[in-house]
Amino acid sequence: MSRAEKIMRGMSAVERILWGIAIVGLLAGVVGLIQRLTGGHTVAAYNTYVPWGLWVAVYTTLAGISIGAFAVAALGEGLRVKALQPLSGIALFAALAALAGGLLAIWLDLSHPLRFWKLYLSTQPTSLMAWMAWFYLIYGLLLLALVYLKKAQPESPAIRPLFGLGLLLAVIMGGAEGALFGVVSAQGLWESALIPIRFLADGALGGAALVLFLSILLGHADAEALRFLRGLVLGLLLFTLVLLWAEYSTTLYAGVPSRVEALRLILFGPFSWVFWIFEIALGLVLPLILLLLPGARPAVLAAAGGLVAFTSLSAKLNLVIPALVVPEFEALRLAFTGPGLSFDYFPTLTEWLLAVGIVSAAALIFLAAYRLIPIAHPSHSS
Amino acid sequence: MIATKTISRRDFLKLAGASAGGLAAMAALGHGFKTLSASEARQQQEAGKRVVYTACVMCPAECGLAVEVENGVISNIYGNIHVPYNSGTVCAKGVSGLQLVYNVNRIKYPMIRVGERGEGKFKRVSWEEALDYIATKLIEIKQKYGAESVIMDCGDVTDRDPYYYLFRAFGTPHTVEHGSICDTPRRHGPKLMFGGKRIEPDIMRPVLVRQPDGSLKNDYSYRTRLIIYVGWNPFTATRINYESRGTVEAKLAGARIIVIDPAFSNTATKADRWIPIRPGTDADLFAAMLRYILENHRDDDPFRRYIDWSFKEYSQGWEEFEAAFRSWWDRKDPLNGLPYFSLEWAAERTGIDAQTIAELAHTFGITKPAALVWGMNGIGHHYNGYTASILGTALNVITGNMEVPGGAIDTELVKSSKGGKASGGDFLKREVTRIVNGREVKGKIEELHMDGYGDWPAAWDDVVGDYPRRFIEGVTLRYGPFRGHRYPIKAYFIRTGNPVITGSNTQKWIEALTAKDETGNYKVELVVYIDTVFLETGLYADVVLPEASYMERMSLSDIYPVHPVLYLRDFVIRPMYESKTQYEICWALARKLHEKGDPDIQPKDFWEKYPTEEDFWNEALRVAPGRPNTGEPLPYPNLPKGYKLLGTPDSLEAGRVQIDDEKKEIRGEPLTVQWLREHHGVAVWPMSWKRFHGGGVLQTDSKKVEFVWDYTVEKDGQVQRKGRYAKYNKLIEEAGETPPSIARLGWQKYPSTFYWFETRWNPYTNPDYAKYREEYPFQVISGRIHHAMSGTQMVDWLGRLPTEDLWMPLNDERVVEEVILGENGPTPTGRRVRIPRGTWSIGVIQMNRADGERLGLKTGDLVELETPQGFKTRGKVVLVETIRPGVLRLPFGGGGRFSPGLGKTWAFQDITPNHNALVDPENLSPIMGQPAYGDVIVKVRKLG
Amino acid sequence: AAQGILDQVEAAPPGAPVGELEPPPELPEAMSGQHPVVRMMEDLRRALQKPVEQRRWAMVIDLRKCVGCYACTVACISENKLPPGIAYRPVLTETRGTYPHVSRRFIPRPCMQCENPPCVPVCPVGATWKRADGIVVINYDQCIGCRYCITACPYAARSFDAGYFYSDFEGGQPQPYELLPSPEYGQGRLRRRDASPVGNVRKCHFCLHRIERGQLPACVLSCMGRATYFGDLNDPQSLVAELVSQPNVIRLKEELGTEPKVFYLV
Ligand SMILES: Nc1nc2c(c(=O)[nH]1)N[C@H]1C(S)=C(S)[C@@H](COP(=O)(O)OP(=O)(O)OC[C@H]3O[C@@H](n4cnc5c(=O)[nH]c(N)nc54)[C@H](O)[C@@H]3O)O[C@H]1N2
Ligand SMILES: Nc1nc2c(c(=O)[nH]1)N[C@H]1C(S)=C(S)[C@@H](COP(=O)(O)OP(=O)(O)OC[C@H]3O[C@@H](n4cnc5c(=O)[nH]c(N)nc54)[C@H](O)[C@@H]3O)O[C@H]1N2
Ligand code: SF4
Ligand code: SF4
Ligand code: SF4
Ligand code: SF4
Ligand code: SF4
Ligand SMILES: [Mo]
Repeated sequence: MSRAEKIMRGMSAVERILWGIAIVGLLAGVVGLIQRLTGGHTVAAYNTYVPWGLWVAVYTTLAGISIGAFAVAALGEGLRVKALQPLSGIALFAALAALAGGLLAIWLDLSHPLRFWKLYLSTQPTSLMAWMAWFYLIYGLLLLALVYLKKAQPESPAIRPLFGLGLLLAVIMGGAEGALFGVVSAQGLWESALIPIRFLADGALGGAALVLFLSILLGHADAEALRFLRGLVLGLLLFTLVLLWAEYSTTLYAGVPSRVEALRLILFGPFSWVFWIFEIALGLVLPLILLLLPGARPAVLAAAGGLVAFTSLSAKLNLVIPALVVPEFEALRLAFTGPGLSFDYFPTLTEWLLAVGIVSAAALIFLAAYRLIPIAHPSHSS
Repeated sequence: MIATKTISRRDFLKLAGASAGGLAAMAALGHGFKTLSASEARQQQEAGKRVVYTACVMCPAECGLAVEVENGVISNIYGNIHVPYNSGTVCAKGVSGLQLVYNVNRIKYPMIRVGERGEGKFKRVSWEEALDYIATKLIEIKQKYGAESVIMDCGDVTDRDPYYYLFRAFGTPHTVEHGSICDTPRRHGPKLMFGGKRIEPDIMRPVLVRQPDGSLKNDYSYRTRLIIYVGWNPFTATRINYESRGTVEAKLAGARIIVIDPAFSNTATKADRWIPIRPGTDADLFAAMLRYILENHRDDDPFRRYIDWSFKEYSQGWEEFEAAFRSWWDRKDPLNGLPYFSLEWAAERTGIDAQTIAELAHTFGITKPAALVWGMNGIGHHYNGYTASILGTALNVITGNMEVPGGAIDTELVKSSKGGKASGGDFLKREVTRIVNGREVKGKIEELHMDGYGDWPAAWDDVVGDYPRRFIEGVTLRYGPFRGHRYPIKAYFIRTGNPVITGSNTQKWIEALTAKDETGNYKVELVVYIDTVFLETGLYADVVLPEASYMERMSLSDIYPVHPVLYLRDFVIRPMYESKTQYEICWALARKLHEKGDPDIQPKDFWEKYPTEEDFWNEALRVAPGRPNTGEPLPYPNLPKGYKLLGTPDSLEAGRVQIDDEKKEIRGEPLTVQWLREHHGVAVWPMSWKRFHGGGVLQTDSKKVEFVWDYTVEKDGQVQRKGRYAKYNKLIEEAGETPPSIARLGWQKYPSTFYWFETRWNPYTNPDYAKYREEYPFQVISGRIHHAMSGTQMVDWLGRLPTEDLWMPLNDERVVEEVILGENGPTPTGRRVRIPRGTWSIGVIQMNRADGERLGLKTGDLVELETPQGFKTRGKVVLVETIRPGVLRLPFGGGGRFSPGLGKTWAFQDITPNHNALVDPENLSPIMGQPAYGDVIVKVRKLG
Repeated sequence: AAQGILDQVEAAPPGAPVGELEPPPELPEAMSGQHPVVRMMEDLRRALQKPVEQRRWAMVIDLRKCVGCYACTVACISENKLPPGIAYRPVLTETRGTYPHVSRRFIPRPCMQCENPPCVPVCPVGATWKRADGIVVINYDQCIGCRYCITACPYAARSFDAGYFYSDFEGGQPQPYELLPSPEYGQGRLRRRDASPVGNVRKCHFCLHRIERGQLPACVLSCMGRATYFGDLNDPQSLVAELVSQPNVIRLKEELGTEPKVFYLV
């Protein structure tokens, strides 16, 4: 029996389905990538007036999820929350895969991706984005180190402090990622002290939900872990609800026109369905109900986790885009026109394909790691 | 190091200029050239750079330009600061010129039609073939029908002298500019009363003025206190370039600006007062102003001393004019029962309240210096524009504003002369013989003119708007020696004009150009389209010839400065593709005609006389500036006053002149192309004012301002008929026949002083049309956009700019199967081009918001407009506060464009309105035959 | 026959030699005052004699004189060889009121060259900065195309060069004028799909390449209403310094504290 066959045999049906989906998704992504490489940025809908679009949203979502998933792992290993310990492997892989996907998204979003090294060799310290680049580097290395240690020296004393350090980094990073938006006073909706907190909360929620989803799906969650995760996700959902309410109500009361306009767009604009259906109904209310259902079966909890994780993109879309589609000057709409001079943004097919591809790539990384590195798989854990 | 590819200047020139044009050069750029460092790249770029002074012709303002050429490619178009007309400025169209020159839709090669007219099927031919075809046909037509069966229409681009020269030599009197399709009624007052054309405010700055110490200095000061612009929108319709900066400068210097326009035009945005008048009622307003001034003027009351009686010193006939004007005051208007020209009467008709009209009249009367200025659309495009123009001219004269510093100036009378013998006027005096009703008659070529001796005797600009009828019906001469002579129109040359879209009703033009006789041949046997780009009229041509663009040819500017300024249009780049200059085309055709035995084309008149292009234009410059040494301060105090000035400014200044006392001429060194090149491309002679007062520049028979146009004087015991209309009235009297156009007004001949008649298709002033008020509640007018007429809508940059509320990026998303002008005419390229929503400006229908809401419309809705005659067009409405209710405004040239040569504009033809789809083709104004574009009423129906 | 003339034409005088300042045009002496272009070019020359850090370039736009002609918008596009979809200086039109009481203003909007430019500190790689003379510039070779600076500019004065060509929408063959080197920053770059500034962020730079040669920015020179002025704010004799000292000066979004160096007269 070859090694490959062995690996195949060890897979559950669920895992196989996941592989299948991810591979199809990756192929779609390849089509998108080819379009991106041949057409440059003319194939995308982001432009001069709305400079960031779907890919930036995907990046922030995945980065957030990575932080959240890592936090779950860190709670287990670093803070020794017993219930979570069996899940730390999955959580770590999820963190790694999400980070890889996120970085891939933002890398492809750069219009001169081959110059990314400048982020490190000519870092401008005043830029939060530059800081983020370094954070991700350190964080990524840390994740790799932890994976390595967990596999090679599971008992290493370094693991625990590393997890602690990672957690600290994750918190700072989540905040900084939010601040990256928060410091942009030009964009009404972003300029808010709540934004970093929302980023953190969103990330933690997405990550925890994803771990909940994956651990049930892959059959790792024991009752205790489930109880804990369920409580964690519930708590974060409620916290997010409060934050949302706080943010929207203060914005609407304060009445800064550009912010109100952006919010109006989120709530009632042409893409308000993103908010109401994805962010609120599928991402908040339904999971809340499912999680609160007394005696819910694991499948129901997995569904709740999956819903939260997979709709977390909508919150980021609503963060990134509506702020940008509000013109700095209303009269800009008609002042001069041309390709790319539009305040309407809806991702192009290329953007969707590539986004699907990126998420799929992340999923494949997860699945491969899960299968190949024996720290999460039940058959390996002892 | 920056990787930059380079290519030697020589190679580039060869590629970009001479041969297949810029495209080849660009193809070459892709290949392996040496890589340069940044500083090398810059040096290389600078080394291949040069600046050429020339004249714009993106619109008829023809501003002075300084064009930067880089390695043979035009890289930037700047204003030439040495030309005071635009003084270094240049408008959006001007800057965009390079996109016209390098447009993919340029006509690249001569082509001959292979399909039916209108199908747009052509095949590429050589110049030799094309000219052979044309010459053979011309000679055939001349032999069969006479040279008068040929029309050479030079459209809107004024540098047409070689064509005039050739076709006049060939023997036709029909050499025309855009003539009657522009603004003839608007010019009528100045033409009758001054022999001029265009009254503009004295706001061109700087002007060069003689100082008391004898030096010449630039004057930058504005003295104007009031400008009233009526239906004139110089900020968008940039014909008089200096009015953009001059108006706002004058305002900052204390002038009041009033704009009278149904729409809130760009010019209105800078006005102290916008008065939204009902279309077609400007004459009513002017009449009420004049009546108010006459009734309320008091010599002894400084607050009501409106009239400056000194005008009588340099005018004649005011008494008759005033009496004729006053004779209407007691009559009652059948429509509203009010006495003519009273404030209440005018208020009823114009929709402006009586108080405002009184104020306006008072303000104009009391504020001096002032200028009352009117435009093409407000006045020129209405059936009764003549009366408005005459009244407006009278108002400027009697208030003492003509020719005073800061007042009003008739620019036609003071700009430099040009053309001279190069226009070929002498050929028109040649004697020819025709058999008329079996009799052999002799006369001059000019007496064969279809307008002057046909249906439009007083039309001193050709009646292009009436061509379609005559293409179909032919011409019958009514006056002069050839009275009774009939001839068909057999050849129509159209150069840089697009009458199918611009020359009155589009459908009518198409009908005329495609009309066939009993034998199945086209009535107009030969249609030749000569242009740089391919517009709708080209679709109906038999032969299409590529003319060099204005950056590739030589000629002279034709502009409206307040004193003589003349500049050169020069070669900036070599003619691209196989295009040729006007001179080259005409001389080549002349040779062909000569070879084929045309007796009228003589080498001594053509290549022997003007062997090079420069010789020809030097001839045209010989008559410059051609204006008298007159006014205050006297331009050349050391030279005799009142004598005609000829020659370069520096020779006149230095006194290097010959003085001819007999002809009263001062001849300096003749102006030449070379001289202009050595002086930044421009010659500027000094400004002076009061040029009416001592005789001076006026071109009337009496050399005075004439309020009477058919009068007699006794000279040496002989009674002579004088005045602008006298000549035509004599013709009418001799023939005993009234031209049908004025017979319709109930006139026997042209009136000798003030007259009045109502406009047509206006239910608010003309009782015959009042019945349409309910069913056709909207009047439709047009306005300019940031494009030049119908000729530049393929220019990308201009398609990205909105204009007023007429031209806006309201396109829907479309994927277009691309068609561009190939060597065999319009050709699909196989490419599919996506034009995203909201990225391309299209012509729209400007509608008052309240009107729109009443009809249940919102901005962007597609509607159809329909006239009582059933003419229709469609477009998207834009609901705005910037237009008078009951009025719709459409962009001129911005819609319904069906020539594939217009690129993206063409792609939206089905949702954009063509104003001329609506115009009544029979509604030609009575004296000059101007299509009354502005007299249109419609009902509105929502589509979809 | 035209050949001789064309040869002459091709020998037409070049612009000022590289490295030399273009002299102000020699116009006839003025009765009083001066041609604003001549005056501004003299202001430029004086400023260029000073060390760069002592110059403070500023633009003054007189909204009372702006006629909404868009010459500046297009002049800038032509000058800088901008591709479709980029205009450094659009003109905003603001309409107010209801018929017949309406008003309309035209507000050209170049880069404000903020004294405190929010676009600068956000750049992760230091590809954009404020020069000593106050002009905010971009190094196209350094810029990684993250577009963060676009989001940070409160005036929407930064554009993303997505890589369009005019010929994408017409004919498919590159048009001669769009393949001329762009003079921006004196670098003479040829436009290619795979090279900067495609993929970069671009903005108005006060026509640095022109002013350093003593020429006025293209938009200033072309302006139909003579509504745009340019010069050195540090020079009390300059036209812009004189204009800015008037009471009717405003700046856009003054409350942000960006301290624009584009001043509007109202
Ligand atoms: N950008 C640009 N400039 C041009 C041209 C061009 O095509 N584009 N064309 C050139 C040529 S050939 C010409 S003739 C001139 C034309 O110059 P203008 O006559 O100034 O131009 P228009 O926009 O046709 O008309 C001016 C105004 O008349 C108003 N108007 C229409 N009907 C009436 C009316 O009955 N009464 C009054 N009072 N106002 C009315 C319109 O609303 C419009 O704002 O422009 C020249 N300059
Ligand atoms: N409904 C309506 N109709 C109108 C008007 C209106 O206001 N409303 N306005 C009227 C007026 S005022 C006028 S003047 C006429 C104008 O009408 P036309 O005289 O027909 O003018 P266009 O053809 O539109 O535009 C000028 C021509 O010049 C050509 N051209 C431009 N540059 C060059 C060049 O470098 N070389 C050559 N060879 N050709 C060049 C263009 O291709 C175009 O054919 O329309 C009239 N028609
Ligand atoms: S006003 Fe007319 S002639 Fe002058 S620059 Fe503009 S388009 Fe050219
Ligand atoms: S206007 Fe915008 S781009 Fe210009 S300096 Fe200020 S913030 Fe930067
Ligand atoms: S787009 Fe370029 S200039 Fe702007 S922030 Fe990113 S790297 Fe800096
Ligand atoms: S200064 Fe130069 S770059 Fe800036 S808007 Fe004007 S022309 Fe464009
Ligand atoms: S060129 Fe001058 S007048 Fe025209 S829009 Fe620009 S600033 Fe205004
Ligand atoms: Mo015209």
